Amino acid sequence: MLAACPYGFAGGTLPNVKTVAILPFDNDTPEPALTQEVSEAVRQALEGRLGLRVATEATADAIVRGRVVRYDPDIPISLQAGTGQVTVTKRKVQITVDVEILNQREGTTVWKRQGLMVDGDYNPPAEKDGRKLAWDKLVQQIVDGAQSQW
Amino acid sequence: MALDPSSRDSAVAWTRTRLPRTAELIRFRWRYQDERVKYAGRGSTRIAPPDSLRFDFAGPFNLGNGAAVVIGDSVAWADPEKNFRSLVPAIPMLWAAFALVRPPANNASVFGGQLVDSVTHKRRVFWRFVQVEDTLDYVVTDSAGRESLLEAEWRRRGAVVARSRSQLDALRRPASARVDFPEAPARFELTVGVVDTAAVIPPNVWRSRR
Repeated sequence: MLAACPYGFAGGTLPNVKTVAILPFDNDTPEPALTQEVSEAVRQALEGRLGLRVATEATADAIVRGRVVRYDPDIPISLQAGTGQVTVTKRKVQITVDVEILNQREGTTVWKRQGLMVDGDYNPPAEKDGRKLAWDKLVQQIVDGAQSQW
Repeated sequence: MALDPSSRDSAVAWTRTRLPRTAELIRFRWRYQDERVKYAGRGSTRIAPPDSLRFDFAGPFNLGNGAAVVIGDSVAWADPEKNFRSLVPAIPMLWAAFALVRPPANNASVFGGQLVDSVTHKRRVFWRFVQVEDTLDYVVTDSAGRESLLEAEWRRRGAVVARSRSQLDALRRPASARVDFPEAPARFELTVGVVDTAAVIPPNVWRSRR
């Protein structure tokens, strides 16, 4: 089975796609940092995990575009009751994104997900740690999704 | 050309004619250059007429990204503030870059005029909004249904703060713009890729997290 598969589980490329351009994601949230972070996560998935090379939009086989649709930064998940007050000891961020990988040469959609939701726990106030975990999940989802196209 | 005194209402009415009818999402590439640095990147602007704009920008490899919301002539928020201010030091010019004109201030003196070339059918409309220290000049050149041009100049105490030149397509949508800041000197240029006139702007984009 494995011998028949031209691609390994840990790397390889999408069909007919060797280079990819990552366009800045639209950011529908009030957190500007997400624009950069989501691009970095997508780059990590495509370049680091799927073995694609990042190129300019004009020359790339495929382009990735998308949108950060929603960002909930402080959902409480763990509480500790105290005298007259409740302390939130753990929170999570929840990020919803739309992602689309388009094959520019063939004019086809290679992979597309709308409303992809990822989350990450953090100890307040280290919200960025939660985002890091959420982006790791996004990377994994993109890798899994793209590999499912093989 | 000598401009005639005009009413503020006429100027406001003219600025309204330049507004998009619905919300728009404009995607563009930008370049910024001054004596020390040269940056380029991509960005998007969401415009909710008549007076709201969210500006998102990302530098190369997404370094130096940020966003800002501008309501009228004021920056409601910018994050990071420093990035936005260095890229966009003059708000009226930001509006002009996207082929839009802010109405004159309530206390501004307003002057206007028009020239029509009967041979080329080019029409040039001039407006000048004068306040105590600031003067804003706008010139629109319409070429009989083809591309048109919006030029703007902002002077403070007689010195030019910024000058912009925006090329519009046949549908009067922004196509490209160049804003010069002669004192710095610095230059900001943008080239529009897409104008999405069916854009839906979610309410969250206007809020600040800080």
